[in-house]
Amino acid sequence: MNIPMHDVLLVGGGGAGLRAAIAASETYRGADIGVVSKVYPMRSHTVSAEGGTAAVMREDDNLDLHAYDTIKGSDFLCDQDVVEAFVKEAVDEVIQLEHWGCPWSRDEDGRVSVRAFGGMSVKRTLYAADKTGFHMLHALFQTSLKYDAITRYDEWFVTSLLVEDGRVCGVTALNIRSGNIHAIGAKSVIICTGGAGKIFPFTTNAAIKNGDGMALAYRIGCPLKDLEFVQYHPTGLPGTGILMTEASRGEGGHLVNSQGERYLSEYVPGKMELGPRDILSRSFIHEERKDNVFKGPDGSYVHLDLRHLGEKIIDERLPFVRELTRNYVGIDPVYEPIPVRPVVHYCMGGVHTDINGATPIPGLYAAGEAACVSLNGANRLGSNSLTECLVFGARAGQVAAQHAADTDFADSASMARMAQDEQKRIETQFFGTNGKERVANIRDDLRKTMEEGAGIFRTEDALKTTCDTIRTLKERYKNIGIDDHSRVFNTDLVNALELGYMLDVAEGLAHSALLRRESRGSHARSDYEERDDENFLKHSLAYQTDGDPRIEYLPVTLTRWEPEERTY
Amino acid sequence: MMLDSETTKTYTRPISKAWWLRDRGHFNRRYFMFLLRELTSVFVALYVVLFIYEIFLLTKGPDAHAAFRESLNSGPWIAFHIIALLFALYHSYTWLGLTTKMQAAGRGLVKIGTKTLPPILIALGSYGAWIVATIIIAYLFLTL
Amino acid sequence: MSDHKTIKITVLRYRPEEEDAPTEQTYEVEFRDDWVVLDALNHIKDHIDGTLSFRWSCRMGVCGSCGMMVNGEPKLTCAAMLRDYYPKEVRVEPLVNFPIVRDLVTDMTDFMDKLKAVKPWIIREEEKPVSEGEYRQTPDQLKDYKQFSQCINCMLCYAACPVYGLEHDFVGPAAIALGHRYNLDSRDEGIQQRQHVIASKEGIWECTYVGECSVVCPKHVDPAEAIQQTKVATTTNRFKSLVMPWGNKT
Repeated sequence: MNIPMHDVLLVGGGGAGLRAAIAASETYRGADIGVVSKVYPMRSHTVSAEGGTAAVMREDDNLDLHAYDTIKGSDFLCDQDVVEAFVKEAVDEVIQLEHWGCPWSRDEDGRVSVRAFGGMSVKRTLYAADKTGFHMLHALFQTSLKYDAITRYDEWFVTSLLVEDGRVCGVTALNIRSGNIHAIGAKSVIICTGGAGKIFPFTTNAAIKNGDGMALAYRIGCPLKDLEFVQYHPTGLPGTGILMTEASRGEGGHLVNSQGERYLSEYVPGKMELGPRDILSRSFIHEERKDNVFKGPDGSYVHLDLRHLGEKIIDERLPFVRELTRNYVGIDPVYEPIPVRPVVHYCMGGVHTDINGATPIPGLYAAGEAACVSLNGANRLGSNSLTECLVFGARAGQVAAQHAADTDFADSASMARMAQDEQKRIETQFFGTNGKERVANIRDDLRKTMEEGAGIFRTEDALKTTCDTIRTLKERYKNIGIDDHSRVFNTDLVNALELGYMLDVAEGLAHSALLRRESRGSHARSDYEERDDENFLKHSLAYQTDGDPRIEYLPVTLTRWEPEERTY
Repeated sequence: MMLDSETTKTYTRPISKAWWLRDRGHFNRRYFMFLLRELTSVFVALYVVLFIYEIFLLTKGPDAHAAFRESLNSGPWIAFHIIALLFALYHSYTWLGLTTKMQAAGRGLVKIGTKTLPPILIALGSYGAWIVATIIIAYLFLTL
Repeated sequence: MSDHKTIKITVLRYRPEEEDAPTEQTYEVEFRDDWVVLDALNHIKDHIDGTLSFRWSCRMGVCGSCGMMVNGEPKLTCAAMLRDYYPKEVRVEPLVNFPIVRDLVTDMTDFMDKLKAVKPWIIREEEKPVSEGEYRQTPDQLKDYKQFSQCINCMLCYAACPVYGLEHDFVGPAAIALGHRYNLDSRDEGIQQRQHVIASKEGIWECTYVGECSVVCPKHVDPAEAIQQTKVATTTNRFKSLVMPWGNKT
């Protein structure tokens, strides 16, 4: 069997993956780069990001200020050396993207515009209207087309990482179109598969975000870091999770409960609808417990009422809100209140890497939301994530390319054997048995238990129940049966494989959350309401074992900023 | 540069000859109007042939020409002229309407300074010029 | 909300390992007022028939995956409300003018090749180093190309274009619009390198201006306009170089 070999192989073709691919090919001339993506790269979830990309661009701003905002936003759980490198390199990265054609919005003098964003003390968020992620992704993808060194594997789905002598030497991947499993050899593999929002029932995340890359790394012994930190956005549409931008509240929209009250007066009377995301999300839960919420087929919700703003203001300032609600759920905010609820938005945790995107496993790297370089700590600031894809995508690409230059390929015959074994494993597991469990049922149960135990508020008891439930779900997963036993474009099989990844990530997440007995950033424990720097100013690392995951801890790197209380 | 050594059997749906009439069970008005516009060229061409023939007859003397004019007074010929006129009007109207397409993106081809001329002005200008040209030609013909 | 109203969804099926031509299959699903066609397809996949294959991801009209024919019209199924069809049945087919790989999944490699052919990236004679900062671009200059940069590659325009259906060499609406987008960008100097693809027989001159591409575009890119603009510009430039061969070529 002929095995394709690449110096650097990207798993995932979104913002971080494409940036890394370009960086790798520019670092090491003559390098052969592969990009494996389960969707065409321009479908990646980077495309959905709306707000913007943070970098210090103006005279009234400086690197320390951006660093401090990020550190404070993270509730002091980020690594400060990482943040310092990030804010410095962010500037060149956004300019580089400008040179590659990203249509940043502009000021009259032709400079890129900057806007204000939650948690940023000055205007430093570059944007391309309200479709920043879309423009960033397409600029990166279209630019990547000019690099002949980059070979793409569009609609190939990675099923495992190949390891030989303790180092990663490639992947096995399912060509979704043909249904064949292949080995792809590589000296360095970079995971850029995004987050895992889909392990929760309500999320702004796209269908493809199932924590694939996190689970791939976890399964070969790489730890997942700070998984318990999951950011909620207070105003998503129930069911679909479509994001109603913060601007809808900024422009004067009201949040109203089923009693017709602007309930936030009880929780954040000073700021009302403009309070921080986490507090608003928690207020919703309080109202839900008081039974002051509406009930719908997709769970409970409150109303985001824009009607008093009038058609003119809505059309002028919130056109995208009206477009989304009208086209995708059939509600016109001029005449009807919009049903909203808190929805999962972003995973701060991910594959444990150092400041360069290198994991503890030789040959394995990670960047973007899939990784945890410890930039975001316990809570990410809006508009830092797109920049993170650029900065740490580039870093990982460079370091992986250097590693590749000093390494040899593993033996292709043994890789071919591993691919055959993998094909056999998958055929036996999914085609060989007549399992009774449906993918969708296990997935729904997983999402339900994640919401109940590892949602906005967490307690010891609920988390224990969730951990137990996940254990039973993993047992049920062994008895899975899929309807589709054909080979060509078998999305039933892909969904079943994804479910396996989701269960692994959920397990790591729930156990990390169970052991963090404090409240910090997005992790709110009703039974431990205070931040506890003495015991928990440290990263959690979840390792997969045969039983429950093993949780270890790693100190946080502090450079110049001492932890202080996080108030706004 | 996708590796496509593994292409699988695909199915390509045939396109019906009458795609502009019934497209998968649905009538698409715009496809029909498009084909109608393509069809206008046939009538314009027929009319031109007729017109050239008429000019050719002028060289054969006034009697031949008058006899030809007389023969055009029959019902079928009048019908042909009306249809040809309608098609010519439809063709001109839609063709000139396309001129707005140079403008709409904000980047117009016709600019005054840095300001792009609004597409509606281009359309109105084109239609205006068309009407003026028609009046002048009609005036020349009728007064000669 | 729902008192067990249902709606019939008829889907074109094609399983290349089992059959030589597509067949039809009708499913009856719960009708929900806030559902789009894609939700119904997902309901079928999750609870009725896991063998039905289709692409989807963001469900908010920006990833471009879920374009299909809905009752004969190319649509993003995430933006096609079921209630606009109810109580009539909905017929879902893969986008026309593309080969079917499986069920509702089409082969779009032809477009990917054409996209690359129009060189959709910034071409400069000399690259400016990053250390020298951004290129200045005024809001007016941004507006010049902004509309054409909104393409999500959903392929609806190719499905709507009878010319592409009949003549597969045609570069097609989206690829031409994207090439045009870079030609209009004040940072770009690559127009000459794109002309042999865009201003060729298989490029703009294949277009007979049906205009349907612009009608179906969910992002109002208006590819027909890109093509018309390029036709006019190319013709004027040719004419200029004929009467003024010494003049600057632009």
